[in-house]
Amino acid sequence: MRDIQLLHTLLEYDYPQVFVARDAIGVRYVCMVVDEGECGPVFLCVPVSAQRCIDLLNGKLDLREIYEKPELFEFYHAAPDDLTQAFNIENAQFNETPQEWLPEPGLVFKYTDEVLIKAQELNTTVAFASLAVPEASQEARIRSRKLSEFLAIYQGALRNLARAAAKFNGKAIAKGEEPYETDVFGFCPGSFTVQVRSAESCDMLGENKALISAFTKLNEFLSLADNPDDAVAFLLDIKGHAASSLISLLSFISENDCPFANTWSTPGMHSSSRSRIRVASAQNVIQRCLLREDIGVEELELTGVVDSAKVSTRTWRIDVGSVAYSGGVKEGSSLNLAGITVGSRYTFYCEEKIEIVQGTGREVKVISLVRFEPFMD
Amino acid sequence: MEVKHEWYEELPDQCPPSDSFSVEGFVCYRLCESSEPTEKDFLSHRKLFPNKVFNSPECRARAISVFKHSEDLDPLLKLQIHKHKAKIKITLRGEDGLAMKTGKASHYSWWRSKGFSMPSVAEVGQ
Repeated sequence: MRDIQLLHTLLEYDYPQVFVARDAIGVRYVCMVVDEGECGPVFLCVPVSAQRCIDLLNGKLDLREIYEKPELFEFYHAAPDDLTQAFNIENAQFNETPQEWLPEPGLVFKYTDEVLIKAQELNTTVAFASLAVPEASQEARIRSRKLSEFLAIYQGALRNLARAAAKFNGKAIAKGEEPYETDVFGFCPGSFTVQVRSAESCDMLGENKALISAFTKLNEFLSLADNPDDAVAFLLDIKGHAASSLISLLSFISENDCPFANTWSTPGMHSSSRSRIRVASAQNVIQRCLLREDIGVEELELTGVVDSAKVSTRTWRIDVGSVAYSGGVKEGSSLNLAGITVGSRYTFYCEEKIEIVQGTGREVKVISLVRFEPFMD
Repeated sequence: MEVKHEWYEELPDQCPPSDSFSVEGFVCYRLCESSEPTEKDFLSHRKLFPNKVFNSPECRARAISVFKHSEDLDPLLKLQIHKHKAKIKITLRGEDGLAMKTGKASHYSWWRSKGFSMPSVAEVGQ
């Protein structure tokens, strides 16, 4: 008696018909439906070596061969109640596959989507972010500064896209919650590819909804970037911090002469989603954005007690509950802070923009006061 | 004209999804026990196995798998459990439900409504 867990579904029809599973120590099993009674489907499972499993996934091995010429003459029955959890398999009382269960020759699979496979192995939402930096052309190599800057910008884009999508859907992410956080778990060659996964635990289907919405928006934007008009329309649609983050990503791509591709998947997707952007496309979109200052601006309304308002430096500070906000007067504005009584309650109507600290990718929020009025209870 | 569906089985909230489409004129294929399909050939796996949990969202568990291209059923016919089955061509009408592209190849999930009437829409496929 042992337990295995479904990893990759190779053939699906109403439910998984042929799949790969693994046990607690990583041994792979190929399982195929052989019977269907009133109690549900019964699968015949056979253990396979890692190489044999790869050959089956790559279409180099016929399913019939797995069962006709097993590496070990061990067979197991499984009648799982829940394919999202580990389930029990029982030793079958035979050492070769009964003829009446052998699949017909010619049943091969093409299961080569490495991002999807990784999502299923980890049972979480993952992405491979590929940076074609010049130093990675011959080997898996990238300047440390560039990598840290990129990761800060990439995570910032995911945060702001997830927050914007959640707000749009009427389920804003609460302050202090960070369901979109990612962990780097590996690198792979080609261009310099960073492998990231959800840092938060996912649901039973391995899905992180906040990250899914962020990756969906990110890839949607990247796929539009060859057409600057469409890309700018997309940015105007999402506006604010999410748009700023995407523009920061474009600036990184442009400044580092580094085409970028993002491929992401959840375990339940049938193929990963991949989008890429060229340096020239990034530069074209940036040029268009220079004409639209409003793209990255978010409106902010702050009601609280004014702590300071300096006429000479045109700077202020206001306490909203336990949070202190500070900033300046909007550039070009003739707004005068002289009329403000420090210690009184006001409502400040502001514009908030994200600025990126060069070299680190760190986001700094800049708040500019547009107008104010005394707060009347 | 929008058709108001009465579903064959109880569906969860927001199911079928908003991006599903009317099946008016949709031609698809399904494996049936024989060339004369019966009611049992058109049941979701939730209906067939109410206590089983497969690795798909509950909404999809209550849909019926169909393929737009009959040849996409061929791999299934290589499994002994399906080898004897007949490919049935189904031409659906608007009142038969909603469908959505899901899964690989030309796989679709079809949410069957009570309006689906088998004899008039099924024939042996190629």
